[in-house]
Amino acid sequence: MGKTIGIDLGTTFSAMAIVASGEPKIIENKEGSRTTPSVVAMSKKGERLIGTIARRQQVTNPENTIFATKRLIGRRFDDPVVQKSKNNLPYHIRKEEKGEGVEIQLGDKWYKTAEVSAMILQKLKKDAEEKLGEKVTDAVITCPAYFDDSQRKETKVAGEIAGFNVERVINEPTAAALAYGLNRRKDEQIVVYDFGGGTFDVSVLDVGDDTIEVKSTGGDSYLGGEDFDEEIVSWLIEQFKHDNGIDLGKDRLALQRLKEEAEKAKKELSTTMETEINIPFVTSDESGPRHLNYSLSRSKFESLVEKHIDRSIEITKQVIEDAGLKVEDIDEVVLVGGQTRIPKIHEKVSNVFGKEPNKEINPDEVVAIGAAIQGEILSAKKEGRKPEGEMKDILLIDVIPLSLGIETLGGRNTVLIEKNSAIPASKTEVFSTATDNQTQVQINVLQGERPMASDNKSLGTFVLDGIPPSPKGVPQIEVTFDIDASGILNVSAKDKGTGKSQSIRIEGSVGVSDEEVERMKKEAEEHAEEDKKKEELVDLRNQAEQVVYSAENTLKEHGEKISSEKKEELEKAKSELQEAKDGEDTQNIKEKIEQLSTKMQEIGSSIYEDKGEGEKGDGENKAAEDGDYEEK
Amino acid sequence: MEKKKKSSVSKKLEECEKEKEEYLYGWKKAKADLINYKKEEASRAESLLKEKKRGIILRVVSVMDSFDRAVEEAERKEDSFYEGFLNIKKQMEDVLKKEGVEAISSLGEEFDPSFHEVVEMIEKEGVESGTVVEEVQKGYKMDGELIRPSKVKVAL
Repeated sequence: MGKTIGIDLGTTFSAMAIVASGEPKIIENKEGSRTTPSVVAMSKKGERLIGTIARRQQVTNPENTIFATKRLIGRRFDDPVVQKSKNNLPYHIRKEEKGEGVEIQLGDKWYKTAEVSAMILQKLKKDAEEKLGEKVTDAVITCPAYFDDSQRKETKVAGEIAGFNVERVINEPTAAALAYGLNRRKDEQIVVYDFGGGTFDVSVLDVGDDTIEVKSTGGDSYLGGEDFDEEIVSWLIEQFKHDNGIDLGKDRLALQRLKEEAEKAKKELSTTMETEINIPFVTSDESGPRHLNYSLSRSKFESLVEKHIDRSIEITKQVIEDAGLKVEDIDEVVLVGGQTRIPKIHEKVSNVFGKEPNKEINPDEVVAIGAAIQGEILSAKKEGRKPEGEMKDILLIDVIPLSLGIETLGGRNTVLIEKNSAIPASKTEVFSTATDNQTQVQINVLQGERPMASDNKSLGTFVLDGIPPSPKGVPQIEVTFDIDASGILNVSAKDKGTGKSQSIRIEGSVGVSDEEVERMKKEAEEHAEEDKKKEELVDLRNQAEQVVYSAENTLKEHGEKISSEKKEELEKAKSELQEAKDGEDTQNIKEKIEQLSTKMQEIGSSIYEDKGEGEKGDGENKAAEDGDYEEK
Repeated sequence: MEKKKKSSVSKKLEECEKEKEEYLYGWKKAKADLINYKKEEASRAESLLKEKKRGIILRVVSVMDSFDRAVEEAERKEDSFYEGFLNIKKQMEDVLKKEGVEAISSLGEEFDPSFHEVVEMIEKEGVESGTVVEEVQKGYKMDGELIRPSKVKVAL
């Protein structure tokens, strides 16, 4: 039985996905892109072009390049939306000869809207079959929540013309909710906020027993990322005009470069605080070439586009009200569409709902992913098996909710098994002693995310003794964490030198209550800054101890070679550092470390000088040299 | 009594058998998934690397655009500074060439949407309609695959 493919048939772009080995994944098209432009064209030679290729030749062939069919599909010709588009579309449309619908001219022929959409779907089907190496017949296709019966029916027909067995046409917001597994919840209200390149849609969903119902929907079909790009372009034109007196808006070529750079800048500002827009030789006049170079900060960008974001928020509030709900009633928020990567959108949405929205899945792909999941659920049902990816129904795979580690030098928490690791799991690391002649180590098993041991929960301690006395850092203590499928943790420590080992068994390291996990995670975030300072202090103290230790060693080994004056200085610097080390002033510790290190270097170089002179003197005496060597 | 016990044992056995089958299936499936996942992961790593390289090359190529525009705008084409400038450009081209990147030719050729993106249609006497008459921005291929189409003006 073949796989069921999930297709997000979009106004400007389409995407497809499939569930394989329990994981949904996007299928790339033949050109290697994860999305395909929803554009169809008939070239002058009568070739049918679909996707990127069709878009590239649009200017040469506007009358035979069909885009945004989604705005027309399943509508009657006299529908106001169709009448409005009619005047703006470069291609020809007419009323169906036998019916009320719309027909589109492509080459010499007139096609039904579903036939044009089918051409896109056909390409997707062919590309998917090539990529997967198997026939693909079953499909789940998505459509906007506001699509009526006739629009849904036509979408289904488009799939069938393309050769698909259309299992179901599902709502885009529902697909997004499915992608996040929200269908498994009970009695929850979900808002799907979808801010794409050209349209903005928002829906309120009600998740019941095995059903997801759309309670209300709204949006603006002419509000999208393009508006954001336009704002940046206008800003650049204005700045350039102010500085150079030239209007780039009138230079078509320059304008195109500005648009490309504006989109790039917008994307970059989602991850950086400032970006440079640099277009050398953007234009020229009598005085020679002119260059454009401006910095755009994230805050400036935000101020440029804020009005669009605010508008989307207003619509969202209205849609919630239409559903008869209040903002506080909403349990989950899902972000869809590339624009939701903009931090300001994320921030405003979080503020409205007072909670973090779901945004882990690529917002351009989440709808196709959800459709693929729906497809897998349907094929599993047909074949009488459990859907892939829901194996946990029979085979429980748990994860540990918090990191597990041990306390190390300076009271630090060294993590061995990271949070969210699937269990069973095990991990071994080698540690050593912190002081000379240390004959035992205490293993303190910790649970939590904070860097300092004392801020985490101690699950238990045990002592490994009988370590033969040796300098610090020499013994090798192998610590193993072994956590079985039921969450029982075994921690063992073994001295590799003697083979002696000791262990502890801790039950219930998985069974932390949800509240406790949340509290600990939250604490970790809240204290991040403070923890960083503490960590720095511990690092410095460790460093200080190292320096003191080597100073002591130097005194012990080379004491006779050091002048009493130097010795006194070294002792003084050493005790000053020891004193500083116990304080909280990091700057002071740094200074004292520096001071002692300098003294040591001075002494070090004077020892080598002495030695060097000695060597010079005994240059030809091999035996003496050997003797010197042995002494070391 | 004995019979009842027996039937309860056989029922338990049946349940266990069923559970065993389920677990065994789950285990085999998990193992198979892991093997497949490893294979997929290997090819994914390869394509990720390619994607990363493509991203970097695309950025470098946009610097090449600036070079191209600078050459076009240069007023003094005779002096040694200009010659040095051309050599820097050449250096960049060599770097790209070594990475398998080559420019696409378009000027005077028939418009082909597989490699060209048209930005404008213009009238040009004596030129056949559909011919590329101006290259606004160079297109590039990497290892034989298109990474950016040439932006062109085409004769009406």
